[in-house]
Amino acid sequence: MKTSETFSLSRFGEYFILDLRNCFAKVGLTTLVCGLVPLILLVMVAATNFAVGDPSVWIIENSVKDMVTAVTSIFYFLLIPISCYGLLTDKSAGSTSMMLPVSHTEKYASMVINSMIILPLTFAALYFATDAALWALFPARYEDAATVMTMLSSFFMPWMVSAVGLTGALLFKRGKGAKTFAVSAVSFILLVAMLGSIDIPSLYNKVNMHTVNVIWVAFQTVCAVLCLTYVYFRTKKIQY
Amino acid sequence: MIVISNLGFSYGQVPVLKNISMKLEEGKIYGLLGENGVGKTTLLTLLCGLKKPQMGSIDVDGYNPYDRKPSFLADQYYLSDEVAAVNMKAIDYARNYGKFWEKFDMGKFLEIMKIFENDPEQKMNKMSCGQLKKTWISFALSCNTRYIFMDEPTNGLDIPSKAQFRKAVTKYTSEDSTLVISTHQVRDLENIIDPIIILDRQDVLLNATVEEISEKLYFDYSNEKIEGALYSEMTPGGCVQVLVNTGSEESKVNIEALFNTVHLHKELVKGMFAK
Repeated sequence: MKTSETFSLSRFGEYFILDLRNCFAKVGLTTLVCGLVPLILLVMVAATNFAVGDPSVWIIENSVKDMVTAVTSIFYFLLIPISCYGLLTDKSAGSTSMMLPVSHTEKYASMVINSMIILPLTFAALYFATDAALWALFPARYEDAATVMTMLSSFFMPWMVSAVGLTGALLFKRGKGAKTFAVSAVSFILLVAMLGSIDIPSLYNKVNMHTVNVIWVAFQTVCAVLCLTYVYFRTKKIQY
Repeated sequence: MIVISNLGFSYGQVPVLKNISMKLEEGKIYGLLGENGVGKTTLLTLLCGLKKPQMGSIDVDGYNPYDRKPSFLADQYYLSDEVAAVNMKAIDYARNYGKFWEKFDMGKFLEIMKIFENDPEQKMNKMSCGQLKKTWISFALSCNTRYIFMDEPTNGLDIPSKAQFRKAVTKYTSEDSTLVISTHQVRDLENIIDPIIILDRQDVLLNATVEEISEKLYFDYSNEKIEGALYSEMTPGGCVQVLVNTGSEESKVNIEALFNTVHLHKELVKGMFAK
């Protein structure tokens, strides 16, 4: 029986598992370390307080914890796709991958599922599990990070951040991480500056907060779709 | 069969291939020769679909290589001059990736690795440049594809490995497979490449079998200086001279001397071999 040139479930399955294994081989340790950040933070705070002289007091300030959670999440979502798929623009590694007898649709689907769903979910699960365990062990001194993670996720949709990361992986030849981060940060600052020029108080009178949220989510969705469209055509048309 | 018609490719404003047309038949090991920068790698990457022709077309058994359809990719293998050091044991790479090529033969992979005296249990990113190259060559030959494109496969190989490479290619290439090997090191591939393609800047100077070459050119290895020789070169063992073969005499083709002759007498040789 002739196999489809566009999508074959069995071929995709084999490729996807292989791709997933490769991703974990590349970023498994990073995922583990990032997932254990609450523990690392706790140990660091405890050690610092012990060194200062009062080991009995080692409450972690919520603001510090929230900031660490936000920074870790953004960095993970943005940089992990680059670690996994950044080599696609490299002549030897990229051409080897492109010449694999798997259709472009299958390679693209695998890339998107791994970098935008599986790896971020693994990280989040590990992070929450570590956090919950610490909260259960030290209820008086520790506040769980679920709130800040949920808040952050609703502000920056994780899969939008991952889509930006994937775009950076294929857009830049060198210094992919730094350039992606810089471009994203500058774009966000410009967006904030642009929004600053709008008379928001008068806007609040006209639209409610729910509408603002819907607009923000829609904006991020459009950004993610644009990024994924770029990644699709870039990988389809890439030449070495 | 590969049919190349009026192929053109440029890097920005710099043309590399211009109006190239030729046919590559099945079951032959083509040697693709040419000076630096004439477009050997570009031609190979166009043939396997890593680049898109800017002019003309390439037809590989009805496929346009740049479409990169799985059924096309499954019947060809491109071995780049720069090979990737994968973080995986060679045997694991072969086991995991070989399954995407329908005719991949694990036994053959291990046999070729043995010929190369390479350890399949070694991690590829811990291998030396030569060992890595030999692993990729073993993998390429084990895929049993109809077309294999190799870019400078003997670069980085030591002297015994070059002999092992010739042995592996001769022994493990199926009769209906077409190999296109680009190289500068013609001595490494002497006796295995036939036909020979010599590329020049934006042109094909020669695309002929060794038999056709020896019919039209005579390679003299005597120490006597012959008047009217197209090319002559002193070698440590004597002298090699290339002449127009007027008397249908048989001689062993010296690829290096042939290459230099073709470059010295481009139009004459092109005219002689024009079909």
